[in-house]
Amino acid sequence: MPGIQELQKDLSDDFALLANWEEKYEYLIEMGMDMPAMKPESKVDENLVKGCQSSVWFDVKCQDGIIFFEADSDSLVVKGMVAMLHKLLNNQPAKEVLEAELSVFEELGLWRHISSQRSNGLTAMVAHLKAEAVDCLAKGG
Amino acid sequence: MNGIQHYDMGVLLDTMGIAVRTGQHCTQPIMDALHISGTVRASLALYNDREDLENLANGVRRVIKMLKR
Repeated sequence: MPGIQELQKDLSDDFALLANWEEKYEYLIEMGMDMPAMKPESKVDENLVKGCQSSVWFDVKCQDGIIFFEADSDSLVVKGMVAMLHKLLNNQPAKEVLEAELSVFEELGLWRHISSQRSNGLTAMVAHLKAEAVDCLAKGG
Repeated sequence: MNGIQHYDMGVLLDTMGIAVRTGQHCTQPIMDALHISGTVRASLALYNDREDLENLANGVRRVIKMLKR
């Protein structure tokens, strides 16, 4: 499994091939559509991440110190962001998730069009995953 | 618009230079009564012209194409 930094670079390179904002969002939406589907029974209130204006669900598991998660959103743009997080942080050691500096979101500038509420949503999603990574490490992972 | 989340419509129209308001517009009770999570509102004023309306209509068509696949 490539490391988070390497995966961020791959994502950054992929987006660099796209000519304009519309193409970038189309790619983001496609990433969301291609993400593995979340089990319907996992879409419960306890998996709902607060701080997001649209609904986002995360079902995070910790196995032998590795973070695995399924996620979904009712918004395709947010689902695309979630798919990026999935590409970067799923199947990664909890320690790496906790220490990850996710510069790619800032670098792509996709969110500069977006209200602070939505970038707060991204912050909330990352904070949620990092909190899960802390729990995972505390369990001896 | 059926099957399209209000924020998605707003964000994508924004990339085309079209500004609309999305969300619940501080009217949560009626949104709950209608069983919807929010709406998209184009607020027209004296300075908007026919070209703005055509851009909005074309923008909405493009967004539908992007999201309904």
